Amino acid sequence: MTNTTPITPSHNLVLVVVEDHPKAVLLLRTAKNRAHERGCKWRAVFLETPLQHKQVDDDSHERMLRLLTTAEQMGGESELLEAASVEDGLKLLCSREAYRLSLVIVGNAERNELFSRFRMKPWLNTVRTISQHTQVEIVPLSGPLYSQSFMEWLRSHSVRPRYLAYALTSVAAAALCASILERTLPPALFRINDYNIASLFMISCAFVAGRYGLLPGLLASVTGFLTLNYYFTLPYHALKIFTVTDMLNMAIFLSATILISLFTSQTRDYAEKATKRELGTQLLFTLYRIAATSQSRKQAIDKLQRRLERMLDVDVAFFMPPVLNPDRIEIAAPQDLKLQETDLKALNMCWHETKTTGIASPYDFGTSWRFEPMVSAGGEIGVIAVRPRKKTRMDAWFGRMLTAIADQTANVLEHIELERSMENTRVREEREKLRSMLLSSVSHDLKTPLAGIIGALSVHQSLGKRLSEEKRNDLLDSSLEEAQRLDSFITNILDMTKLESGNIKFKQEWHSVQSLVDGVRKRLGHRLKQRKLTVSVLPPEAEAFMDVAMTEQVLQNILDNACKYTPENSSIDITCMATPESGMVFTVRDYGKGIPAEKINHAFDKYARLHKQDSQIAGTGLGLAISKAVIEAQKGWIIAENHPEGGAVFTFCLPEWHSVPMQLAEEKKHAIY
Amino acid sequence: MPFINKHIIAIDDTHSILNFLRISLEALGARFQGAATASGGLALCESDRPDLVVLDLGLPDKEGLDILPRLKRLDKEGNVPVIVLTVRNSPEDRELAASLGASAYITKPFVMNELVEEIQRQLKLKPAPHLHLIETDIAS
Repeated sequence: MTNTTPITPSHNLVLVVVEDHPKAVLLLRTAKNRAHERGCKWRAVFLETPLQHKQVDDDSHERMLRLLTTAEQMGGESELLEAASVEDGLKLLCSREAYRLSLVIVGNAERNELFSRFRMKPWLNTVRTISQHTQVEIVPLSGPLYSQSFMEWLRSHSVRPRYLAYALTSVAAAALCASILERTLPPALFRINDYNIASLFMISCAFVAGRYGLLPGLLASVTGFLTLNYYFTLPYHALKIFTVTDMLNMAIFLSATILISLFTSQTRDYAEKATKRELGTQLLFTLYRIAATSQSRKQAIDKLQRRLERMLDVDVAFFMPPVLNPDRIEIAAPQDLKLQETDLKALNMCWHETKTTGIASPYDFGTSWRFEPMVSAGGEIGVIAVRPRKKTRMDAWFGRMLTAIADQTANVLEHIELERSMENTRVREEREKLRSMLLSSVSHDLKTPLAGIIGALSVHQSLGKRLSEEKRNDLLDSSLEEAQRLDSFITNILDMTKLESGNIKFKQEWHSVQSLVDGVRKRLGHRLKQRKLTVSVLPPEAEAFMDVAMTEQVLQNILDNACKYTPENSSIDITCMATPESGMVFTVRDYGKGIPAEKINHAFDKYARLHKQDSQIAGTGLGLAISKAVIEAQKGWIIAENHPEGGAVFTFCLPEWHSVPMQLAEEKKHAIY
Repeated sequence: MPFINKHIIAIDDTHSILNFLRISLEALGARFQGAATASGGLALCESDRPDLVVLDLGLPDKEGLDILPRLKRLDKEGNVPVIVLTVRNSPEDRELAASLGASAYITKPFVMNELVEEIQRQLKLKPAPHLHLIETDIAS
């Protein structure tokens, strides 16, 4: 039945709808020839319908996949299209490809089943409709449909030959048990009767049906009945049914065992399906939980690899090129993974052609692995490889689940990557913001004292002659003070850099606490002029084990801080007290406003500013951070708190101290000066 | 004595800067007053009505730019010269200051002559002719 319509140059595709038939290759050959005649492409399409899922066994499915592979090998394209029905699929195909469809080829199989003549072929109507727009060729497929051998038939019903052997063994066991009971219970009262024996056989049937499915169950019920009749009913060792009662017994026993087999095998099927469904849900849950808890793709695939191995009882391996370096492959695999040449071939094909390869797939290569490409919206991101262990069945369900796992894993990994790159961007932006903030803050703090120096000196230079001696000195003093402040900032910045890079070496030695405080007072003299300073060192002759220059810097930073945040003419108390438990404790107390409560925990943070608009006497925000680092490097501690009566209190401690006799201390002092 | 009888107020939180501004401007004949905070400076300006204000931007209590419009409105014409003196030198800060009415923008550190010349220029320009005209028009 052909209908000719003019072929326009845009009509450049021959479609062939393949079906499971031993002569299905004929369809492919026809398609190839027609395409060759027309000088256009051809494509083999397998319409997968829910009806087929129910009726068609796994082998048929595999055969169809193999047929599609053959189509590709013959130079055509292949497509697996899921549709609600064959008619729907045909309609969908024709409407999708309408503008380029040159010819549609369908097969018409002769079905030599009993009722095939009376069966409607609804898709023929669809073909008729299509043929009004497109040329359709129906290829008759003669001969019987694909015939199954007994073994194939068994396999298609999920029965393994050994299950049948188990059924027979189970019946034999029931018979053995019955005869033992018969012989070991001699008194007539306790003698085992026919009903008990029949129950034993029923138990064996129920066991077989529950454990191995319907067919072995039925086999057990029939053989059970025969055995019962042959060995345990009168006349013994003969298969005879004499009376109506016998026949009734037989009928009851057979129906009971068959019913039991039916129900238990059905329950088993439900349980199996439920287990599979639960496994699917569990897998999905695992995938998303791993996605939520993983920081990187590598971490995620490592976790997934372990979990999948445990849940599916298979060997699992992931092969993924890292995002930034596609030449290097990231692998998560069992430790003893060794890939054979055939495995690598299958893996390469899977990756390069985005196709399922390996065991139970159209591209077998003789490997023991199955390779599934992981494809997300952004493209192919890797390959998941699975090697079944002994008990795993690579059936259609397993194949579908693997594809689902591969797709979900791809999505999950892509999500992780996306999240990480967003996080990286955010961190980079934050860092950049902080860097520019610090740069502007440091440049502000360095420029402010410089402005004081340059301004005062420029006044001295241009107006010096008009100024009194006192004012000239005032200008020079103020420049000097600002220069010292600048020096202190620069020292702090350099110290912090050195401390952070670990380039600083502490030279600890015994040094008088009193002379340390005196040294700092002398250095800060000008700034401390407007503060009332009280110093007490107890015992006065105490010496502490310290790096003198760095510890002086600590005390100076703390005093600087006190000067910065207290009004002029207020007091600052320095107390240095030796304690047996803590060591030498230095306390600096001021009488200013104290540290704002919300900032007290961050007083020693780098670039922390204790007060808003902290530029009255600008600082780099490093002084206290350095002090903490210096004291901790000398195994001491430092804290900041507010005094209950107002003002801030900074306390630091150096763990080692001793007291030297006054005379020796004096001698040392003279030796120093 | 170029600034004789001129009253200048500087608002800056750096003590040493106020110090040398005082010494130099007083030596040039001006009457000088200094304030270390924005609110203190504004109060001083409102009570003493200076001829020119020198204003720092980063002040302890608030931003210098926040009080700039009020400083401008200290006289009837709303055109008191305000010279911004700051370490900030980004184009955005300059534009913002200009849009709020700053008469000049000098970045720290600076030499005193630079500021003196700017003060001279600003005091000579006062009041700005176009602004004066608009004000008169409205008044008439």
